[in-house]
Amino acid sequence: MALNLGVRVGNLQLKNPVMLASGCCGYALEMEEFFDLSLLGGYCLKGLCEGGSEGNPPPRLCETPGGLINSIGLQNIGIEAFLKEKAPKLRKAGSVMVANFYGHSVDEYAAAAERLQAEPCIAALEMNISCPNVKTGGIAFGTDPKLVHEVTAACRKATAKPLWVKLTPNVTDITETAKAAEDAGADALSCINTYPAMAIDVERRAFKINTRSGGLSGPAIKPLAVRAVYLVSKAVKIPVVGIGGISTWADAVEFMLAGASAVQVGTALFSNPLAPLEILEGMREYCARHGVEEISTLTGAAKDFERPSCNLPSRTK
Amino acid sequence: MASKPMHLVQNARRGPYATLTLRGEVIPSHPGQFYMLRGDWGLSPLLGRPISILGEEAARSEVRFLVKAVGEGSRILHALEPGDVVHATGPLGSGFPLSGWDPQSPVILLAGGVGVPPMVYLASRLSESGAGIIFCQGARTKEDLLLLDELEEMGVTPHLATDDGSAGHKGVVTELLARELEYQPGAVFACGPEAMLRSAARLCKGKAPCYVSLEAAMGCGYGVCLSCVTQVTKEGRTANQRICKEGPVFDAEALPWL
Repeated sequence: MALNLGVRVGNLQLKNPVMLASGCCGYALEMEEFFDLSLLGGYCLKGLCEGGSEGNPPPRLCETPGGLINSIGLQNIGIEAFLKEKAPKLRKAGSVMVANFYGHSVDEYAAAAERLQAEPCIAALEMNISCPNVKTGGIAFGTDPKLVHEVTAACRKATAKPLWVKLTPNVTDITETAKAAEDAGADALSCINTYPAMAIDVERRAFKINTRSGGLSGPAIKPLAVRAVYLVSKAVKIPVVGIGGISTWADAVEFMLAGASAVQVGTALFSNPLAPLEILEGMREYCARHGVEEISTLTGAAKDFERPSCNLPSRTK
Repeated sequence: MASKPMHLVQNARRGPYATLTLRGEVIPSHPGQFYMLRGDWGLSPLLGRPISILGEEAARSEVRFLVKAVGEGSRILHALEPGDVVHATGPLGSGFPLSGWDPQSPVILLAGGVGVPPMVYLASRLSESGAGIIFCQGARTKEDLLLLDELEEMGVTPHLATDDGSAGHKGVVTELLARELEYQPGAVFACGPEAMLRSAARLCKGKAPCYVSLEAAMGCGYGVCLSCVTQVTKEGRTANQRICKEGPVFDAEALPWL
């Protein structure tokens, strides 16, 4: 029985559902030292903006139980430098490249989308309106459905490439921002970015990271992310890409069952650069074990737990 | 570099220090490089730990590290037993330059605290090339002096300094450096606490090129998480560089904050 690992995210075909998450794989060239990028479904580049950014001062990262809090602050070399120095090296990577981008105003978002439009090796754009670590841009655009609509619509006009919107879970109802992005023309939704979080060193009585508050990622947020993916996939018609603490094949399958068409591996790369390949192999074995021929049939396939009816002891005689 | 499981074949402990010997596929490294080491310890702590290479025996497929048990991760590494699996990603980062100065001049290696292991690795490489090595090691007390036997084996007699005077000079190791700089070294290499590096950089200014290895908490160790950055000045322009990728070894002149 042949297994088809291919999935579609809107009109984009991925050879398998496993991608690398933005902010966790650099400009992907670092990952090529460990494996061939073409083995993956795709990869999302570190968030780019016009002119680049030096990011936040260190310390930028701390560990929490099963997770990490980061406040990198979107350090990046800038769109111009990326297109000149990095993109040419990635043209032969043989995998779907998604360029994550952001701005500090609606106009800057649209200008960034337009600028990235010109690069042929970029298959899709992922609009970052969910970074909790920059003062303007990022999450400021992601929590108000009206602003989500406005910035998505502006970027929609600016590019003909598939437009993905990366959502923040830091809202009362994520389906509202999801629907706003869909209405404004998004082709897919990446769910989710990090949760705002904080950690304090009690001995030093000091915040563990420079900006005090940062974004929580890793296995600790996985159940929260699975729910967000489930809620969003029920609320919109466009595909959802699941992100949030995926470190094993079972995590990836769980996100697909919740409603994701593809998944992104992020924090797990830090402790195990080979995690995406191990996840892919595990998903293959899972499909074989469950007689799955098309991995895409897993998307949204979770059903209610069936109570075994015959083998429970009867309460009444 | 590669990421693969290795097996612990020996763990020689002395107090809070443990010298770990790992066996597996070893990719040749340069002194100053490091590995991210992570045992099979579940989700906590989440990340591997950056540990400098102490030495490697490529023919035996072995690489050695010295770990001091201070935090959650290093305590687990310290407690590992032979046969245990360690996931090792490396060798990572830049190493110390091994040439670029007058070969007739001696070089000074300055090591403090857990900065000693990479300097011992550097000493072993430099001694192979016949360079004159002045090795200065500083520690709090006699008990914290490290790897003296390894240095002796390679014929290097270290100049010692301890805070309490229990061995060698009573005081800080950079006081030894100030004295040894009179021998007009071709280069000075330093690894240890930030205060030591700062003092070394100042003393070397205008006298000898000084290369320092920076310590940092790291997320990934291979350049993607951008958590271990430091400000580096090159050609008049200051920008963040990754300690794990462009470093951990930097020319002290490029670190104006030091």
